[in-house]
Amino acid sequence: MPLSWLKEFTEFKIPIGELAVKLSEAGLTIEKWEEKEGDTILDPEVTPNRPDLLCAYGTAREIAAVINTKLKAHSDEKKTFSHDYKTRGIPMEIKIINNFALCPRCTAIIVKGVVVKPSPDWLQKRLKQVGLRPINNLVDITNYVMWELGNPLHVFDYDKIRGKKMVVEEARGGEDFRSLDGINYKLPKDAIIIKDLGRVIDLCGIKGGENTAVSQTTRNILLHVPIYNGTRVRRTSQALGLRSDASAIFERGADPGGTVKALYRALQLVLDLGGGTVGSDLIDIKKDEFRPWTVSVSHEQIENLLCIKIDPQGVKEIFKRLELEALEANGVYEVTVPTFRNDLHIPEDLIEEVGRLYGYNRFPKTLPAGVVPIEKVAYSYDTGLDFRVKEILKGAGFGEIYSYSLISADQLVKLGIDPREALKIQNPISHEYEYLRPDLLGNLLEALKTNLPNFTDIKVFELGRIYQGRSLDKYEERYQLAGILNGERFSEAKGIIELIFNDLGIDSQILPAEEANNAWFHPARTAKIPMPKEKNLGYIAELHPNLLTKFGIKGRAVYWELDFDLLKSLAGKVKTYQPITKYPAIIEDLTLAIPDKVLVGDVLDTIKISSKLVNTVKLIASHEENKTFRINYLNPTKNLADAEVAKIRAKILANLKGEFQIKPKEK
Amino acid sequence: MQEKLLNLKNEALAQIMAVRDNNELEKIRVEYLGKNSGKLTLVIKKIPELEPDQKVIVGRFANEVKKMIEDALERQKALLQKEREENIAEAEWIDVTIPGIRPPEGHLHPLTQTLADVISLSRRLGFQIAAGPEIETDNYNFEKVNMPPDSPSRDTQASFYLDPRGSKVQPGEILLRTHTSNMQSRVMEKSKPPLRVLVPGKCYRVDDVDASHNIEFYQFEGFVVDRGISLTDLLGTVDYFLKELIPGTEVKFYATHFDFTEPSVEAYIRCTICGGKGCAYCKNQGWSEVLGSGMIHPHVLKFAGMDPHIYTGFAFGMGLTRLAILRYQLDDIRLLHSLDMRVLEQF
Repeated sequence: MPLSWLKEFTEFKIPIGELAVKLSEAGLTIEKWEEKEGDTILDPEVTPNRPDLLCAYGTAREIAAVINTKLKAHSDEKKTFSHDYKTRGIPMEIKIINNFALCPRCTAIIVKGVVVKPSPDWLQKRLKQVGLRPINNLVDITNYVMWELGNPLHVFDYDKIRGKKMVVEEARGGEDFRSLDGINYKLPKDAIIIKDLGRVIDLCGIKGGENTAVSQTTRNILLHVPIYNGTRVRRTSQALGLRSDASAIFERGADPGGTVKALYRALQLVLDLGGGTVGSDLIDIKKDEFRPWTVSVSHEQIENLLCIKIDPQGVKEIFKRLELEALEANGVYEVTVPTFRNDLHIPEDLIEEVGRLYGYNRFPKTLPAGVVPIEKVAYSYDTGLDFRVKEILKGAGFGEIYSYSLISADQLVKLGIDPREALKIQNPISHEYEYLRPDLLGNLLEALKTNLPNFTDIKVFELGRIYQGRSLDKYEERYQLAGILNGERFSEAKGIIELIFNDLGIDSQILPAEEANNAWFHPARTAKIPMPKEKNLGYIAELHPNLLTKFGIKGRAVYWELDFDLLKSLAGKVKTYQPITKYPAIIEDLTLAIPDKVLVGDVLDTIKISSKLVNTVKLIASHEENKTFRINYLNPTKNLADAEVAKIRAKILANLKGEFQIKPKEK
Repeated sequence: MQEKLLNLKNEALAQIMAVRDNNELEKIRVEYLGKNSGKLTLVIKKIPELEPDQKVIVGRFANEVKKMIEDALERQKALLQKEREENIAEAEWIDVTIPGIRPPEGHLHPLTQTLADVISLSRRLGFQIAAGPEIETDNYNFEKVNMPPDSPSRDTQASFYLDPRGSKVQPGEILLRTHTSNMQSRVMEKSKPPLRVLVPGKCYRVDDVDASHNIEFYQFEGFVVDRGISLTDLLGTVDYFLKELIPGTEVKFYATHFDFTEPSVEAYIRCTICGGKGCAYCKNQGWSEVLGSGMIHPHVLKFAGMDPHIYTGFAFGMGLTRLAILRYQLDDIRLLHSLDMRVLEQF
């Protein structure tokens, strides 16, 4: 947007940098501008709610409001129109069959006897400044007026319109259309189009048709200023991947009150630059009158929401700068909103106008004063436990990753999961990110593979969501905590799980799990953590060599995973103090020859439950089938006599013999 | 016998003076004074066999010898102690520059560390943490936050839609949330004001992936709903948040537009790269946009069953990813999804 164009409508002298900051603070972000041929070209970023800022006059209006300068009235058609716009003789015929749902307003006029030629330099320069290529005087005028006033226009070669009939309708889909720049399109369903006798002559709001475009031989024209349904234009433009300056305006909402003014402005330029005479009366087909509307807001509302003190004069002044006519009575402003400000409908909209022109950086800053909420909010989530577990893992030497939730079909297949049974994205950007991960294992394997060339000791974990379900009728999003270690380090992995459980105060058993997922886990090196009610809290497993091979990993790896939602529900038990007994414990080591397939876990349990006086029992050494257990006997209420310990020992040995045929090792 | 005692004494004293450590001294003590078989002890044990007149003399002399040996032991012990003290630096020098023996060293992800700070900060202001679904309906992600299907703002939040195959779900109905604002309505529908809620979480948008754009990213969204919540509360809270999270920064507010807030305000901070002089990163502005916020739109309150005439509120959303990039000066957003420990062990 050239600065010189803006200065045609409002005079200001402040440096461009300062202007950019002021406009940005008020909501019209200007981060870039360039000096070009003695002019400054601004590159404003217009928010979607302000289509009125997509033209020179609207931008000038905003500048005048923000820096408080005077906005010059744009040439008013009634006073300054220098040509005779009444048609002479019999009006030329055109029959427009409109559909208000598609086109709420259509303003048009016919001009006869025009001469098509290049535009004058001043006009060509302007178009080049806004990035357009000058074509001929008539097309250039429509672009110029759109960039000046904000209403898109189109010019038809009147003589090429067959049957002098224009029917506004919805495309059925699949129609062929050739645009005025010579590109062929297949029209999407529901696009707004204009047809003459059987031909599509306009892809409304986006591009005109070649069949009725202005050419060197054009003599008579129809100037057309429509308002189209923005949603339709947006959908068509998205479907075709085709945007134009006009479609950008229609999508956000062209000013339905501005069509006549734009038409007269264009007409004046046509008569000035192309000659000819008016060939019809003004055609203006409209759904309603498109008059300004009123919105009421009280001074109290403004002060309450913004929490600033501002006097009513100041509020009225701001409204006036924005061309919002405000009548005040009993502390209530009745504000008349012009049709080009379709973003202003509720009191809060007006409050924002006051706030942004007052300047947010002048506001005081406060913190919410009310009561701090105590009641647990819906969807409450305890992040404390997340961080606690992560800190434990960090202390145990694990590195944390955040991997993508979206994974490839390839990964699923390698995991032995049928992609048809995973949640799928309909519009993925690539095959790499097409499915939602049903487990963290795949990405942890990728992490292991990534790090194997550079590290000898790899321990990686992730706490993240997994997405399980075959279809959208029944699926689940849950948190999983999982880790991977390189090498045959089952015991190390198990130790980490035990550490976490101990810290969180979770009682659990870790048992062999031959029945677990055999595509993933080693059949004889897998443990499960069963919980009451049949659900497993998780697994610790050496990964199956076949799985590792599929992921291109050499060597072995151990994996563990925990259902984190379940883990959280079990945690949080506050530990209670047990008094330190004043009686000494008696400690003795027992070396046993454990027969094949007898589980050490069962032996430990058997020793422990043999007597209440067995305080703790630990495996302290292991050599082939010989395992040494350290038993700590303790009576918290009195000194233990050797004879008592001997009795317990005898019972332990009897139990072990009875259950597992275990004998103490011969000394 | 006296001669024998004298020889023992001389022998013992000579040995004692030559000894350099306590263990040797103890051995000498046992050798001469040991209860059962010390050389001196054995001699003393024979004294009762002497003539009565000899007994007294030899007995006294033996005691003197014993005392002299004991004293010599003590003296030598003290001397050795003194020497040790004097020589400790020389004798017990270690090289403290040898690297320490560390316990296993793990690493928390930069996003975790950043989130931990955001959460502890928000708790100080009385916020509670909430988490909700990433697989979301169009309704909660868009419509309930005042973004109807035809809103042009949807263009900036292109969504990943889930394939409805094999289900009763309509195409376009279920998507991956594009922002954490989906939780505004969800929470407000179920909980009564006063509300102070912080929602961190993963979001997804269709985008061309490059150094500054990714299809998966993390946000956190804070919102407060109560009677009498005003714009200055929003400005104050956001200002506090940003100054705590990015120490030493300055904060500025720009008006903007979001469908779900009215008025809407963007927060800018002094560019952390150039310190405000203007650089490519901040597009020569000296300031960079970090946070979007505003007073919750009355429609959003109404859609969630709140009466906008009674309650007002504000909401702010910030990229956790963005914040981590600023803090750790990451030059590529994709590093936050790196699986390479050479990257992650730096944090």
